[in-house]
Amino acid sequence: MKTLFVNTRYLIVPVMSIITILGLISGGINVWAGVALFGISAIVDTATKNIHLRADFDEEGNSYGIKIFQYAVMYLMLIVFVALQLALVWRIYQYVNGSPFDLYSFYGLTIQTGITTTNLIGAIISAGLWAGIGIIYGHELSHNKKEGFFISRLIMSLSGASHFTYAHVYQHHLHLGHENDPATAPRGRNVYMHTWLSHAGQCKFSYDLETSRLKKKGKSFLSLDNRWILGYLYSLPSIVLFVWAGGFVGVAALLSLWVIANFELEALNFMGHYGLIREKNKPVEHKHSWDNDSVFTDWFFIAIGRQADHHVRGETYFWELDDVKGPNYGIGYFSLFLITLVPPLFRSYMKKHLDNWDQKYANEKEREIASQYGY
Amino acid sequence: MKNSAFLAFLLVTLWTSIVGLSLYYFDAHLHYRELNWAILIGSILLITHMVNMVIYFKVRGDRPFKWDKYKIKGEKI
Repeated sequence: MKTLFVNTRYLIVPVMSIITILGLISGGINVWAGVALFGISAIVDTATKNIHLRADFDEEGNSYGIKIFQYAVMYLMLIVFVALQLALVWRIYQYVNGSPFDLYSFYGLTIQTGITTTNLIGAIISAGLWAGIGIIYGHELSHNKKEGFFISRLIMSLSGASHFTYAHVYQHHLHLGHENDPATAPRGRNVYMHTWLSHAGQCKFSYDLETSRLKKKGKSFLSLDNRWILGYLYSLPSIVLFVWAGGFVGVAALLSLWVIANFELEALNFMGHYGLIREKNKPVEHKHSWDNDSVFTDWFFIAIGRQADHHVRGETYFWELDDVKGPNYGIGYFSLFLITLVPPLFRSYMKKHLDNWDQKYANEKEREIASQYGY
Repeated sequence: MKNSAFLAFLLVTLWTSIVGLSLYYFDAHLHYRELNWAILIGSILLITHMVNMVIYFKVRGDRPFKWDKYKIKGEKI
């Protein structure tokens, strides 16, 4: 029973993603299902912010997590996220064609053909929000050295961020807490500026990596061996599909979806390390990441909020990550995300947490660097 | 102008506008439902985005990613 519970509790996102797809297919006001589910998740996350659980192990110290099941779910999520885009493309196609409004029933699901401008906006936001959540699988699989890495590239390419898979492992994990890691936000930066700088910085890392690697191999930059180019090519089917379905409207929709998804990705990076400082060439410790492990955040985001443990044991499966008493916001990602949207409020909220970090976690050198920045 | 955010913005806008106007000139907006056209337009848009990123990298270098500008005291570069 315990095994069943531990393994199924991480299915919140798959279930909600499928409901979002059904909402898009169903049409009418149901296309807003993804937005509604995101809102409900924020409420549940805030209401349960004080519940913090530890990772589950049996008496012999073995995890209850079933690797083959969790990996099967993560791989299948690639298909779910493709289906999400297909459902949105179908709605864009109808919008551009001016399809008449009509009702059909398909295996018990009522489908309304045709879509209004307002509902198309809802469909795009719904799809964008849940495409963005796809990063939790892209992130987990980026740490897999086998086919999972490739699946991660494909999942991230659906949001135009295939470079993430390389940059996350070979840049962020090695340089976090330092300006050499664009995914770490220094004190004083807001989430909006961070979204662009972190995205561009990680993309540049991948570009520079390939430029230098191909040069050493004596190969041209313009080659299919170039993994920076290849990453973008993985996004091409999405782009072609949106162009075909809606022309300019389709391109605008895909652009919006990518912006929303990447905003979520970079907001997670922002919250995970904001204002934390590490001396260059010093080891990464638990204190260099913020934990967010309230119960709903932990299950919804497949333990991505256990950043402190994750950054010290990067190859550890998400279901084995635990509370290691690193710096902790004490609230979930949804609650914190809403605070980050208002930069003055976020800075004010962070003041006590950063003061606490400076006093309890930072060494003398880190404190000295921190003193040069605000909040 | 070197490392200028404005220059990067200007070049990216210019390049994107040239591509956009060229697509319009060749009636891409009338043919996007033909699969070959959709593939061609999609490829052009992807290349446009990649070139935009390279323009940004070349003009701005590593400067945008440095933390210096957030310092409220201490030595700035």
